[in-house]
Amino acid sequence: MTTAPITGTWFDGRSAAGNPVALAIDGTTLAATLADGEARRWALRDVTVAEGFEHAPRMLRLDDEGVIEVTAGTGDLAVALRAAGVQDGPVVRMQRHRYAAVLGLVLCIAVGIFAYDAGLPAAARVAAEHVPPEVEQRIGAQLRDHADDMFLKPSRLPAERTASLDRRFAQLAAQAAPGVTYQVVWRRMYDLHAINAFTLPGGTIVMLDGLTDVASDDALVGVFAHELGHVVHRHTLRQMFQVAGIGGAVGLVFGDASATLTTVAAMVLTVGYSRDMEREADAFAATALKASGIPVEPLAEFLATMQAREDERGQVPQFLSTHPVSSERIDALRRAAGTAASVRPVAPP
Amino acid sequence: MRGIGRAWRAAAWSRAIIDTPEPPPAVSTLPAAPVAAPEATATAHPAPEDRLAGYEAPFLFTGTGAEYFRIWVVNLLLSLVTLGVYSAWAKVRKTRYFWQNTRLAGHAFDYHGRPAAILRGRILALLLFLAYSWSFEFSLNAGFATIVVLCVLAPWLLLKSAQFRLRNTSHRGLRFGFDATLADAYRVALPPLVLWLGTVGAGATIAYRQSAGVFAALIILPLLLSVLMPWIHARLKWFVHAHASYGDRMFRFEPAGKAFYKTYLKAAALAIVLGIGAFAIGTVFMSLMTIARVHETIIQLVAVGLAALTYALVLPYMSVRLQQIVWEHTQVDATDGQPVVHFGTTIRAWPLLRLVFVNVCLTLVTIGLYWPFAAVRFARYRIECMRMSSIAGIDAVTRARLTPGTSAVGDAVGDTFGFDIGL
Ligand SMILES: [Zn+2]
Repeated sequence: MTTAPITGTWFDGRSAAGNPVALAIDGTTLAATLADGEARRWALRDVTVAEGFEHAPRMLRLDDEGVIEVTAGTGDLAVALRAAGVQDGPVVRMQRHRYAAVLGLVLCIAVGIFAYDAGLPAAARVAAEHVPPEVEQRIGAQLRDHADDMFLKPSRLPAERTASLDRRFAQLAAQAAPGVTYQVVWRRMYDLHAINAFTLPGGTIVMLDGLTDVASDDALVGVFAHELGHVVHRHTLRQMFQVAGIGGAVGLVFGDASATLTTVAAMVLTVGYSRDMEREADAFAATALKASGIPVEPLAEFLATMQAREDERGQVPQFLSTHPVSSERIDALRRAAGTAASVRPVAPP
Repeated sequence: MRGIGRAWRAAAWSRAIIDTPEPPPAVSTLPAAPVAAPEATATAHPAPEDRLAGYEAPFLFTGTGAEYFRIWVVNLLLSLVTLGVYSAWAKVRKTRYFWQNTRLAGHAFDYHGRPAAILRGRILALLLFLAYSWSFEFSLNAGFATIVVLCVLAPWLLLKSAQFRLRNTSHRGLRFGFDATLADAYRVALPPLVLWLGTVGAGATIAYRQSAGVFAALIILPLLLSVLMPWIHARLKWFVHAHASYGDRMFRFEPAGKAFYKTYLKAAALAIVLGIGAFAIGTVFMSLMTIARVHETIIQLVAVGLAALTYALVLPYMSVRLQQIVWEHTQVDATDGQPVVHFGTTIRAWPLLRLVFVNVCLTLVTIGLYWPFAAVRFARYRIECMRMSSIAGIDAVTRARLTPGTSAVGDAVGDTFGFDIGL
């Protein structure tokens, strides 16, 4: 043998006292020579060769007969093993490959982007379609009861006012989404002027009294159309699945890291999804309004007002926490309004 | 070659009171070929760390960020592509990397957890989590039923995860062990669980029935929970440390309740002093900013930042002090006339805080890519702060034997489910 000798310590699994050994691989056997000259042999196929690391001793596991800890940096065990036909597993070879880090990183990012952009939304859509309507109804009812207990109060609007609005909503829904179950409930919050509307699973659309202070009737129908878009696309249910999926994926990346890092990353990533859903609901609203001959501009104007309030007072209206409004969204609505129903000219923002 | 410098530094740390070298290397009696062996060993890793030089044994960590980065990336990719199934295998690979790169008195640790068991454990944990997060969407009663079931299962999970972790870790060919009973687990976990369940229950009832009894429970139970917290925490550490074993050597954990109470009180006092300071500074800043009509979000951010700063100063102090206490109270029992083995850690609050701060910042700036480097740096600091000492020198370790009637390969039947919950 011309290579440097391989040395290690054999622990027999019965005692923690180690026996220094000199090792050789000869054909299909592992031969160890103890300090007192005694020789031991094991068939290589009975030896589990642990993955080697740069600075760690390599473990040759002998099951009932303990383990040989090969001293790091002595001899070339890897060469001897290869010569004897003992191969590293594919994952170990990948880990050790020169470009593994770069390639792995690029692939990770590609897989991540694909999963985020297409994979997870598609999976969530399929999953949402497989949830029976009764289950969705039940979840929605549960959430509604909870919201009614915690922060919602009965509406103070006159009954004929809400009834006339509900009639206009029904006309639009019959026209744009026939056969879709939904119900509108009017509520107010402890903060009387809270302006918001949101959708719960199962088709419940909650409209807050505060909306009627700011929005014209056409704009209110617009807001309703937007929420109906969430119902038609089953956004709440899809979002529930997407949040779960993102949580799992982020856990894979930072699972062994801190819980805070995992939560923050998951929150940042889900914001992107709600933005996509808002866009989808806006597109539905624009089409539905135009189909019913109702102008889109009041909705765009309402969103612009909400956005302006944020800029001026440095205080975020509640509406924006559930509906991130951006100039891009308002522009998209106005473009949609301009292209088809040229009822009114597009006002430059 | 950073490993060598580190080894020398670690060797310098160990105080040589009694020089007890490892059983005779007897190099000269080795047959012809391996004669040069000791020299080869010496160049790779200097001799002093290869024995328990007298009184104190150093812990050494030989992993590097660059090497772990490649392992992390490849395993992450495989986990993503297999929709998380491979993550159990990745877990084993990563745990092995950290254990095999950890050396005590020159010899490494090893990890034997089986991926299939971890996968089964993860599936079970996922099912429990799904049950927990979906049951409330169905009905309040289903939600509470799930919480009660989880509370009943929690001590069992605690026991199983400690068992899985220790029984699958070895050093010098001997497995660690964990021999607490399910009854022990329930005794430790029930007081906090009952207090917590009571608080949650009272909180839920208050919405329906505002009676004096419910109000009293809502005040007394959380108060009791916080007063008992140091005791509960100390008992949890006792549970894990007192039931551990290495071969036939049993670990022992001296009662640490008093020391825990002292630390918690000091931390609370520190938090109050810092809190008052932060509040004073905060109030001045707030009023100045309100006058200057600063955006409300920025004002809120400043307030959160001040609170986080207080938290960031108190938490490392407490965590470091508790780690010191836990290890000071941990010993390996005397058997066949052998003296006791003691442990300690030289971990300090300020270096820990600096390390965590740098790690978090760099991980955020690199959108996560720094994470493997951070994990290695953190492990190195934590592990190399650890000390083991015994007046018997290395004999204290090498005389450990396999417990009669057990197998060197552990009981594979026992770990149907591998839980890898950190404690
Ligand atoms: Zn919306």
